[in-house]
Amino acid sequence: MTKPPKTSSTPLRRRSDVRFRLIDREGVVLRQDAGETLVLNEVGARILDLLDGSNSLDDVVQALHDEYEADLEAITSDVEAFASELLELGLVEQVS
Amino acid sequence: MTFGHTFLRHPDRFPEGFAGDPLGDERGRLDVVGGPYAFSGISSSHWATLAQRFGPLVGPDDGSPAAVSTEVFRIDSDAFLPRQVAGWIYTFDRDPGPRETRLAALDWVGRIDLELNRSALWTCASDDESFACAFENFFRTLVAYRLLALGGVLFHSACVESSDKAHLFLGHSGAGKSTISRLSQATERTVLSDDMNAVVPDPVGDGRRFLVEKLPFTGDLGRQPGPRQALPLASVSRLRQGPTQLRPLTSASAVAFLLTCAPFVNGDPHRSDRLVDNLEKLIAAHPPRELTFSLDEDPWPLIEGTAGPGDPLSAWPNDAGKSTIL
Repeated sequence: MTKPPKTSSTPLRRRSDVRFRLIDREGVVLRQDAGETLVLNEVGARILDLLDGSNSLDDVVQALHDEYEADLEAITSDVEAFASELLELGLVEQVS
Repeated sequence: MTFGHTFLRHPDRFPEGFAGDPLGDERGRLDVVGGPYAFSGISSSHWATLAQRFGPLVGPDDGSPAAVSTEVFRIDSDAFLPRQVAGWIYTFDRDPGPRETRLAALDWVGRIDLELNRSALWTCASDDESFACAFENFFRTLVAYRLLALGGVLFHSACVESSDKAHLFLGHSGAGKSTISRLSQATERTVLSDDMNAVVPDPVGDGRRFLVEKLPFTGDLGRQPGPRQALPLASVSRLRQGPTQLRPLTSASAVAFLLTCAPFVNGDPHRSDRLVDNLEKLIAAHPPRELTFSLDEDPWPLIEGTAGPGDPLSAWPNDAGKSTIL
């Protein structure tokens, strides 16, 4: 399993072959190189939407904490786990 | 792998522009949705083969403006790598660009200029059957791009006519497109095609209605060439195997699924936004459902919404069957 970024201050961005669209608060992801599509629920879509190369995981956690009534620790854990999954799936990459 | 290496000895020598040695002197048109499509440079023998395959859709070039003009040229067979075709699943290489798309395949290469509405096909196929195969595979791609530009989509799908309306069924291989087509035929309904269908906005109206046209491409059913026929779209269903039931799909699930059913253009990064735009308009007008059906139960009352109280439609679950990774 791909490890989350060593530092949560490293910005992540969607890979160049990934197309993303928010539709009714859910996310449609098209991986054109693989010819696959995925559907993300509202929170997953919000996270991927924020990962545009300008936001680190810290930024994402803060944004979600501002938007949702949830415990900061739980949000941090979920965001890091989801970021690992996105990295493993090849949907996002670290900005070098 | 870079573009063309699967089929071409020298991908860097891909034909330039729209030039070459024409295969013949024939010119003509195909009156297919998004057209008319004009063709020139075809031999008499090849054109006769196309006339047989496409029937009344083929006509003479009367000189009036065509939606897309295509020139057909000869290319040396040495340009292509040798390939064993036994058991091979037909595919081709694509090189989509912001303005044009290049294609390379078995015995042919092509270029589609999406701004000039002009295209070119170079082929080494000499016998009529090989030429028709090359032509049809190029033409499918051309039609897919043309429909996209018109706000429509070419769907790998089955389409059944019932009460003068079109019902579209989509699903991956084995999902039941051919099965529901045969079940529908057994109830005196007409199958437009169980392979590929065109969905386009109705030019008459407010842009929120769509038409379906059968495409003259291969399939097991509805293959006979015939005149163009457009029917108002009544429903869109994703097929899955299971007990007879209809379930709604969320908009995102519907778009994600429909993307996978839009061949030729869904891998084009320069046009994915337009494709999603077209799909969003389509699902706003016709929210797709997921249909599961069993062979011993007539699904048509469900499809057409004529089933009575207590039917599976009245028990739609709140969970719309979305797949998530979070």
